[in-house]
Amino acid sequence: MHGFESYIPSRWLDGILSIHVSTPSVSKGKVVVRTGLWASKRVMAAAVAAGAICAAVAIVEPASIADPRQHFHDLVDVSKQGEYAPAGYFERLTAAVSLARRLPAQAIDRDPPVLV
Amino acid sequence: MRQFWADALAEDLSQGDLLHDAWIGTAGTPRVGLRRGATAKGGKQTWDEGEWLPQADGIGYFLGRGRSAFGIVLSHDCEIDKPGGKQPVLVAPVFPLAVIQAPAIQEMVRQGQRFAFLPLPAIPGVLPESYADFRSICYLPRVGVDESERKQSVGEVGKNAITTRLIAFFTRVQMDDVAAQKRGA
Repeated sequence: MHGFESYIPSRWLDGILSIHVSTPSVSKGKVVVRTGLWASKRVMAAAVAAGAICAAVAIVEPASIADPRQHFHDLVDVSKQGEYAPAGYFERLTAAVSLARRLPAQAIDRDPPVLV
Repeated sequence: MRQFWADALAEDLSQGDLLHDAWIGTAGTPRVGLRRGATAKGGKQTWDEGEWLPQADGIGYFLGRGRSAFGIVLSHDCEIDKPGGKQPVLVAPVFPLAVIQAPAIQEMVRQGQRFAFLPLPAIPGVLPESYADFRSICYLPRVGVDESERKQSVGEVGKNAITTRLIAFFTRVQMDDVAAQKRGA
């Protein structure tokens, strides 16, 4: 049978997650064969969990994976709390310092002795 | 002229605090590693000289050399004033100006002409006229600072004096030039 009516995806899992079993047993002196479908709940649960995690990672990708620089604090935001240097602070200061004159070197030969 | 020292001790450990009986020093030379030895009578820990043998965290013991002296705290307030803080504290040793024999050098230090020395006014009954020696700045563990006695804190004048001298000593940058850059920006 080929066509739309043969499109049954659940059948694809036959033999993997679900196995058709036939169990012979004795009932009232007769051998009875019971047929059934065994599905591994554990395998199914693991598969569902793995799928969910993969889907979550794909949909909501952690920023630290997308951009490793996110490991570092966002200086612009946190500087508002006074905890980190404002963005560009050291660049501006370095530029200003590079243009500044230097104080004269000082002689050390008349220094008092080091007492520690 | 306004006071260098504050009238009252700051509530928390602060930049400019004067410590008494601070253990200031560094590793002795030649280098001598120390290892815990046997426990002597009375539970006293003994130490054996030997090769440098750090613990798993990379820290070990070695022979130190220094002196118990006055020290002035250089770490900025916000680095050290947290309750129960464990941050190391930068300290410069403080010595009486009188230990300098030559009057000309004594005057040079008093006038603040060498960036390496911060002249400190006397505190009656506590400290003679002194100077902080930036050449021997060291860090003390917070516990070590807490074991010494805080004698005095600095006021605004003292804090500004420390700041400007640290900049001059460490950077040799004309800060008025930097300020001019800022104004022109």
